[in-house]
Amino acid sequence: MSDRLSKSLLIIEDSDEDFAAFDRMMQRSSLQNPVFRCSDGDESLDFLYHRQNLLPQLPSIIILDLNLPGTDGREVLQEIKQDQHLKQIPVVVFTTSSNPQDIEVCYRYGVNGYIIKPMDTERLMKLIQIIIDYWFNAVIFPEPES
Amino acid sequence: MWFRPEVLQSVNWAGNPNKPVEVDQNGDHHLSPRQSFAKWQETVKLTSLPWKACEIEAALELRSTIVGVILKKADELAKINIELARSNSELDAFAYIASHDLKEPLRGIHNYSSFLIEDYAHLLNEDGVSKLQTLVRLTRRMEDLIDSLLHFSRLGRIELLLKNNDLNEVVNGVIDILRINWKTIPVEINRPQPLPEALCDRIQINELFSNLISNSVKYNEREPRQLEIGYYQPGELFTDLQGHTQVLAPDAPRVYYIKDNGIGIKERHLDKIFRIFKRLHGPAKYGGGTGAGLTIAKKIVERHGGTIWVESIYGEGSVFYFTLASWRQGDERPII
Repeated sequence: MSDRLSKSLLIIEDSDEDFAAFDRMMQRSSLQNPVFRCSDGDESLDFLYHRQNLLPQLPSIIILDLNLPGTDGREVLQEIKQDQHLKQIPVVVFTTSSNPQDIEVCYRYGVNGYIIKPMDTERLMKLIQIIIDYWFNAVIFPEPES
Repeated sequence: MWFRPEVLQSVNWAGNPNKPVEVDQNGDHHLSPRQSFAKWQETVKLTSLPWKACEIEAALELRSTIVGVILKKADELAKINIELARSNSELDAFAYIASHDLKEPLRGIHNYSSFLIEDYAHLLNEDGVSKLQTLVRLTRRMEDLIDSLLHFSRLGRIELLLKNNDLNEVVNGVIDILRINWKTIPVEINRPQPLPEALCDRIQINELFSNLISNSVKYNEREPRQLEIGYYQPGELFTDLQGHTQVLAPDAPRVYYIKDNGIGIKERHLDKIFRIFKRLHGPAKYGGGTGAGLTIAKKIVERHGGTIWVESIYGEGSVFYFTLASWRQGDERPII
């Protein structure tokens, strides 16, 4: 089994403010694992397909915003889940959209979790703690592929 | 034109055409030769003149024209329906996108104000911190308003799931949940008779009762708050708050009511209370709220083919009445 610290997190989020809030909460939760950020869909797909020099292993988990400029989150999710190689990475959607259609489509594409971004900073802290506890401390991943 | 008068005609026969068969005592039929060849006259009744070929042609042409018009109308209707469905789903998507895009910057304002308080509170005096806290509170309020708007806009388009529901059970459930929020507030609920079953969408009717009952307790300063939940059957005697009595028409729908001893509503405000975001009190009074509750209640009642109205005596209490359309299961449902 891989070392806990070798697990990395990829955040695909276009809003600098939302990322700052997310990052701040992660600092507070004292998560040591490497965190990467892409700010749009195309950048994230480029990163996932050609990441070799940046990151030797696939990210362990992807946090995905749905409304992204250019290739949006729904398309990114679909592409990840259709790729033989990438589809093993758990993807958690983290979005403002509470549209039942979005929720349904994401689960149909095979999303591993759908979380609605809260307005409240306390609630945000709680949710991020849950994400970290679950994906970094509770679940077991397959051996990382390069 | 299509129904023509009877024309009496005489037809001359060489003999009675109905006569030639005779039946003897044994039941055997046998033909007997005519004894007389005298002219036999028949009067033809209940028959009009035959159609001329040109008339039949005209009728067929008219038929095909009518069929053509009907088909064209049906086609137009189908097109309008498709257009309506498209515009409905667009509106739905629009509401979500608008709410999403409004919330994103709002969340930024909220988060950054919170961070400002967390990181720089020691550099600000009490007044500065309190102003930032107000900012945070207002962003929450704005979010509530956006959510209410989204909820309201969806309410009108979500398809109703009509089933026979025991309204008694619905009200029991609503009260159980509301009691958790009321905590120590003394509330007495009088139910003169158990509510009947009604064909309705359970989730929406639940929300309707929840909004009306919670309002009755919220806008109420008496101890205890007294509520009465009941209904009038068609044909029953109905007395309003002013003491006027009338008999409900036998074909009228049932009238449900929720009566309270709350603060009441001034007459000049009665027509405004169902308007969205319309509040009669400051945002800090009577537990706040977005001012969408009664608008939502009205929408639910109207979608169920009913009406909602209110009677009130300022300082004494209010009664909210509503009806639901009395369709039976399988009937065409009204879409409003």
